[in-house]
Amino acid sequence: MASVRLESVVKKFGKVIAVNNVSLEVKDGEFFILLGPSGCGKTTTLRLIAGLEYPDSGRIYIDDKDVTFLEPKDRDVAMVFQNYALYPHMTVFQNIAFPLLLKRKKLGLTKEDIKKRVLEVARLLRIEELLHRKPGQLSGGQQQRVALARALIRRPKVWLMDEPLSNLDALLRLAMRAELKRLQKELGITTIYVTHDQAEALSMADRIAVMNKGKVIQVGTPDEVYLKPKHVFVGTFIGAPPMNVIECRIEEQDGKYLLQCPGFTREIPQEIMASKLVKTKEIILGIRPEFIEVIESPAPDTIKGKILVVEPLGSETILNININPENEETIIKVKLPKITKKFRPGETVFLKIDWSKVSIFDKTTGFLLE
Amino acid sequence: MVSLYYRVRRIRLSTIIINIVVWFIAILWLLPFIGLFMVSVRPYSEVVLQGWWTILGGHYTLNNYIQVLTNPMYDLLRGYMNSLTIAIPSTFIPLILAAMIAYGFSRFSFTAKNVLFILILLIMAVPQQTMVIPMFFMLKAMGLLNKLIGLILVHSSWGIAWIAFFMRNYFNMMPREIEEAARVDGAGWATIFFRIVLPVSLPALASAAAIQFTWVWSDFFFALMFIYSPEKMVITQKVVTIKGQFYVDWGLLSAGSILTMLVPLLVYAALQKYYLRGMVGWASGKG
Repeated sequence: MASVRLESVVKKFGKVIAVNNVSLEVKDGEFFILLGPSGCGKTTTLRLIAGLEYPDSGRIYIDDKDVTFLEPKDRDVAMVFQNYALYPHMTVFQNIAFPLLLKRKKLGLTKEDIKKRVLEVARLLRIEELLHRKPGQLSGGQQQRVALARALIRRPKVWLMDEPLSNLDALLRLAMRAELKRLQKELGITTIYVTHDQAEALSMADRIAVMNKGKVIQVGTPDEVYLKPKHVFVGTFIGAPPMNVIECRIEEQDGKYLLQCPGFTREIPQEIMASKLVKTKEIILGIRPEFIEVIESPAPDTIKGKILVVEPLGSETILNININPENEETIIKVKLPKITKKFRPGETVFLKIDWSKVSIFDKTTGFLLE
Repeated sequence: MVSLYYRVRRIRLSTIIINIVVWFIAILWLLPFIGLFMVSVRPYSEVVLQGWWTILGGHYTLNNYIQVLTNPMYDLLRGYMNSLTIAIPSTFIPLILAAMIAYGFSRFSFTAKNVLFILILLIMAVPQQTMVIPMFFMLKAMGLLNKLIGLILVHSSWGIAWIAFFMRNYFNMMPREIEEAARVDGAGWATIFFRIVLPVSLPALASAAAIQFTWVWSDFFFALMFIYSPEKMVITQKVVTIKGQFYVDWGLLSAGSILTMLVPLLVYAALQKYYLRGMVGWASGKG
């Protein structure tokens, strides 16, 4: 178990800055997830921690020991790769035992000890009956377990995982998600996990670092990044469907501040009133689809809209509503928890926004105005 | 009946044409060998009277083979031994050295890497004949002329260039993740190379081994230049001695030729499983 700290880490590949001044702190025993779209630098960050890449500047610490330029073998980390990277010519037993065999003398282990440890880990991951097979004879899920076992056997300080579930089918992925989380909590190994799947991140992480274009945009608990996104990117990247964003202007009229949005204009609600806000002219208003109520008849403080598409998803329904008759593309997505009424495309409805849940972002920087 | 109709219909015209062409080429390719084989198993008198290609009728005998192997005048067995003594190390020495060189070229960056690689390509392009005189003097200076070890060195160094080129291409296509996994697991470069990379590259190594072995085994030119004592001559040199100055026993010569071919054929047959995969490379492999 260990803590991991990155200080102003920069990694360039030619002219491309893959990791741009990233500073992070992962606590002891934490399940920490690096989340972001492909090409955002999350895998490079993980590889820097593993020692498979060296940074151009910045430092990396594991348990306060500077490991920036240490070889991977000297960092006491274990890694699970996206394609599992099992050794194809070795049996499952040999694959799992390999890290221990390499450190046999250093750890003072006998062959019997190694066998015992392999069986122990195999039992934990329920792969005892596969030990004599070769990786080519295993299913994706089984290969994944072997890769996890190989990463566990050495009892590393830090467990690094690079999208380990992305090659599994949807059902197996769900099952493995829960199992991984259980395993991590049971063993208490500090884990840094890379994924582009926001559902995976929200469901598994203790804390999430959302990355974009090589930078860390926000670090927080799943609730924090979901409910209080610090940047419009975080709001729109996380959530299914993502946060609704509407570009609006703030105008001062007779000492009052008006919020002018496509389709509606109103005085700035008390809930979001802030000094920083009124100084900014151009803003982005962000609201999650579940914080909008749909009313059938006109009511005060509502926005008129027309239903374009109804997406029933079983446990919930998503409505695509146009709020600007002049522009068909001004669409608000609303998530209804259950079907109380059957809505139809073409119907006129009224939207009541929960203003206490609204996030206001600066249009030029994209950052939250607090 | 219906299913048969569909089955017949499903065979495309292009498939038929491709099959005909392939069979035609294959038979054309094999015909000289069949002729050679027929000559080797029939008495000389029948060959002279009935021609090369008579397959049916006549007598069959292994006399030519027995003659060629046991008659001390031809001494083919010694040629066999000498060829094996040269071909085996001349296959394994360049194979292991070239694999290491290739791995270096594929995975590490170092000064003048590209220049060195171009040098390897140039060496591959140089005809053996142009190098034979300097090599002759080098071997002479080292006291390795007319010695099997000298020929082993020549073949090994000649093989390193093309095997390094071949293996580098293979390593370049090889996914790097398993090596990275090994690095994280605690392996150093030597462990990665010998315990992960080499076993995984077995198909490519087998292909290279089969080709290099065959080349060395079939070599006549270098052997002719650097070996001149009859007791040190290799099989390709020995076969030639079967042909007399005034009289050629085609039966004996054919048997000798077939015996010479036999070893590379066996090597190919033994390694077939690997070298087919090695030639296809990673393209068809599972991810």
